[in-house]
Amino acid sequence: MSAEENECVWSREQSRQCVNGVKWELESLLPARTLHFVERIGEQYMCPVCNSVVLNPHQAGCGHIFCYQCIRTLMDSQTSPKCPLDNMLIKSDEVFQDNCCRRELLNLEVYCTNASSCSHKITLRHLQDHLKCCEYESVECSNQGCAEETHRKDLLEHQQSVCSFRLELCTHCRKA
Amino acid sequence: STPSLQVDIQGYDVEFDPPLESKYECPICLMALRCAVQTPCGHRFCRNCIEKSIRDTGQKCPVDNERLVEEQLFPDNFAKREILSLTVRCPNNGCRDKMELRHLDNHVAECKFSTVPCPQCQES
Ligand SMILES: [Zn+2]
Ligand SMILES: [Zn+2]
Ligand SMILES: [Zn+2]
Ligand SMILES: [Zn+2]
Ligand SMILES: [Zn+2]
Ligand SMILES: [Zn+2]
Ligand SMILES: [Zn+2]
Repeated sequence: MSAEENECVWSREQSRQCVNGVKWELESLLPARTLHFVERIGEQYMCPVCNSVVLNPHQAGCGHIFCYQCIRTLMDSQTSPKCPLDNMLIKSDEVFQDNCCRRELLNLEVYCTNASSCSHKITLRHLQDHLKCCEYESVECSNQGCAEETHRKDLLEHQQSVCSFRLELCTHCRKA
Repeated sequence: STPSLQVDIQGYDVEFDPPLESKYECPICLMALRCAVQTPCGHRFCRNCIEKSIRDTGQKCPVDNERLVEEQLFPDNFAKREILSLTVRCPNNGCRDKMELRHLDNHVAECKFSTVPCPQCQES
């Protein structure tokens, strides 16, 4: 069967944001961070365009796997986009969201992205959950007017005794 | 328009060395993926196996029951390339040669241990 019979991959991509219950919020979380895998990761997981771990993996007809954003940029910016590894023409109707690769990636172990202080190792699938409670994740002070960030474990102390926007009880009337 | 002879061809039934990783095994025929395709739910099958499954048991993925129609199957050329580069043993009795799967057919055609049909009686 020819690949031309396949519907547009981009629109299908958008209708499938969720694979195996893991919402890929990671996509927005990861670009600002460096992932360190516990074991050396296979070269098939490295994007030929940006040379980082593939984010939202998409496979081209040549069998190479790219970040969604990277292959999209490649296809949008050139009339005959080619794979940087083998020079094969990238045809949009042959590109598909590689959820098999995504699942494999999510099952690999990574160090917490705050590894300079935090010693946690988790599967990539659970990184997001861990960061929601990691002691060393930077969090913003919620006091109005304050733009400071502290480690989660230091937030309470900051808000109670350091923050210049904290509300203190008036020593006279005992009101905030 | 596939010739009816080909319809039932399943995965590669050869001995891999080291043994085949499960990610390259077809969940239907339990052999190495031949003409690997991938579903939107991220499962891999031999093209023939999954097309037959859709015909016989309905429009769903046999692994997780996700809805699946034939048009959603993409050739998984990554898996295909990986599988063809895995090392297999020659299936002929007495031959100890090992080679990449992609070279197996050529080897068997020239293998000293191949059994050929007798030109007189047509038995091997
Ligand atoms: Zn990339
Ligand atoms: Zn390529
Ligand atoms: Zn942590
Ligand atoms: Zn503050
Ligand atoms: Zn099969
Ligand atoms: Zn499935
Ligand atoms: Zn042989």
